[in-house]
Amino acid sequence: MKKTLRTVVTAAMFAAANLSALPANADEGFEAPDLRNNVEREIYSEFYGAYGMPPTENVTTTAADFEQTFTTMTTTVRPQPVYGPPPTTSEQLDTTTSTSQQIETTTTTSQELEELFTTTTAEPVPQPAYGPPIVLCFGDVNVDGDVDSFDVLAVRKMLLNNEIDYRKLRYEPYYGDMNGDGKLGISDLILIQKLVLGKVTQRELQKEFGISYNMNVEIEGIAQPPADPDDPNVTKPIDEYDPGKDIVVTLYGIRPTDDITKDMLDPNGQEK
Amino acid sequence: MLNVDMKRSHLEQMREYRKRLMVKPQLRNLFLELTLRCNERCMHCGSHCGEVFSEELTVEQYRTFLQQVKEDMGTGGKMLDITGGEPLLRKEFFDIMGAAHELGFSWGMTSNATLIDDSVAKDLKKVGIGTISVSIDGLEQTHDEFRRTPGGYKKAMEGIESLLRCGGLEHVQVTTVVTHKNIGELDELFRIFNDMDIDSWRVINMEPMGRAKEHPELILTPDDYRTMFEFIRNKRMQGEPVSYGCSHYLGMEYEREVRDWYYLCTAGLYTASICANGDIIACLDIERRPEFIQGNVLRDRFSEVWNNKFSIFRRDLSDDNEVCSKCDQKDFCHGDAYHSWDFDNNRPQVCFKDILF
Repeated sequence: MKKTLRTVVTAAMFAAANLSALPANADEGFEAPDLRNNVEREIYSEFYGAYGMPPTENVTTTAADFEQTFTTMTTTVRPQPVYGPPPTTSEQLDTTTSTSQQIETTTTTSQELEELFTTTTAEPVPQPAYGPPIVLCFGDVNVDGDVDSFDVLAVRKMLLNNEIDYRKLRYEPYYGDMNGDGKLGISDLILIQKLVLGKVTQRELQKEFGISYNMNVEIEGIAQPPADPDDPNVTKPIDEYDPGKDIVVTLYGIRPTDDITKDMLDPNGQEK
Repeated sequence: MLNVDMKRSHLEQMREYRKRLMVKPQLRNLFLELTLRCNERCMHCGSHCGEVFSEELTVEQYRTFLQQVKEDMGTGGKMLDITGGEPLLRKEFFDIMGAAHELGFSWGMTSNATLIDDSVAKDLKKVGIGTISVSIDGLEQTHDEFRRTPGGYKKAMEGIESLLRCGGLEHVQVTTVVTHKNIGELDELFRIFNDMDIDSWRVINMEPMGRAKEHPELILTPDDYRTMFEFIRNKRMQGEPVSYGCSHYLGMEYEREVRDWYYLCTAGLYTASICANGDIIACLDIERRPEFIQGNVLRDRFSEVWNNKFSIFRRDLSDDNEVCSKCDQKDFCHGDAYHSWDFDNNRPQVCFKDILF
């Protein structure tokens, strides 16, 4: 489809309106929480049964800590051939075992094994070491299976008119609580927009904020900013609105060519 | 969402503008229903078109009528909107439109495009076609079922390609009637149309009129309506030439956001129509009732009818219904579109209050 000046202007009009719908200091009120703060610990505490206890204090790890704490073992298991008797040539294996303090390393090499091995590389979905698993409905406010611009619109609608019970419209505000603070606000709208625009991923968001489904998420309504004629963010018509000029649309919403428009309107844009 | 205060202000100006139009109407759209015959059998057809008997005006009768319009009202600022039935089924189609072109009228048409190939597209160009709106009502299977025409989708798409290939049109539009059945196909349809060199895509809802009344299962649900308008608005936010039609007042949420103008039912204000048999009415979508026929071009001079009659259309329907008359939106809605008013029970058949606003 052809994009024209008219369609571009329409998009710009929406963009300007979206900007003016957000408080000018929206970004100022948004601050990413400390990853080691109490909120994070509280969220993780709900999941530690499955994923282990969260750290209870700031974690500082050095290489020496690792050497004293971890035991690393690499073991190669010899596979059984599909046909024929199982190999019994353990003496062919060149096995080296070394121990340094509490670190134990076993290395196995064999030319024969290389011929028998089939290497399979599988990359599991990396999950956080502790905390909840990645949840894909994060941000899917309208519960349609996708996180897209419709979710941005849904959140914006809820923020601008928060008196309606949006659960009746099948919106789920708690999926929009991106920063897990129990409230659906401007900061969540910004995060969903970033998510839809691909500036952040669900994984990054969840890593940053954790996840918490609070069914009683409070919707923080946005008060319409007072009209300020000097505020460039407030959309206002450049010219005096003229309905006659506006609805110079003939066949099925198709705007006539300039020649026909000139027949309808005088040079000042007024109807003849 | 655009600034509500701005929209309210514009709608208030539109209300005053409409009052002036009711006193001093301006003919801009003159619809010509060339025939009631159609090679498709659409479930939603508002005119029960198809294999029906169609009383039709001759080429000379059209020429005389158009000559009178030109003499009395001029051709400037007016557009002939050619429709049917399928207008290309008229054997004399190119003679009629050639006459209109010679007289200096700009014209566009609606068509199912199944009869358009490269040759027809070139002929349309010769007789001065300006715009065309082609109906595609879903993906292939849905379209063919909905219009009860096997192969209709393929022919229509080929017709559009012929129009685009031959060029010369100012605007090629695709129109899709959204039903409860095909609303899930909007995204896929957008992908298809977006790859074509068309100028715009008009997305409208199935209206409860004509043959559509026999298929209530296809009428959109409240959720469907919200989905459709969100879809249109979303595309427009991305700068895509997608638009809703002229029908219905949409409330503060969607007015001006899903189309380039505010709601105004232009029947009898901007718009008049000539039925296939010459009857003069306001809009071809309005229920065909005897009291709506304002004259006939075979016996009446059109300009006199336009200037002195049509009073039945130059008023607010909301005054006829107690609920509408007390509605806080009646100054902007006026009882909504004439074509969807239930004249037997004096109530709107389509009202988006409590659905969109």
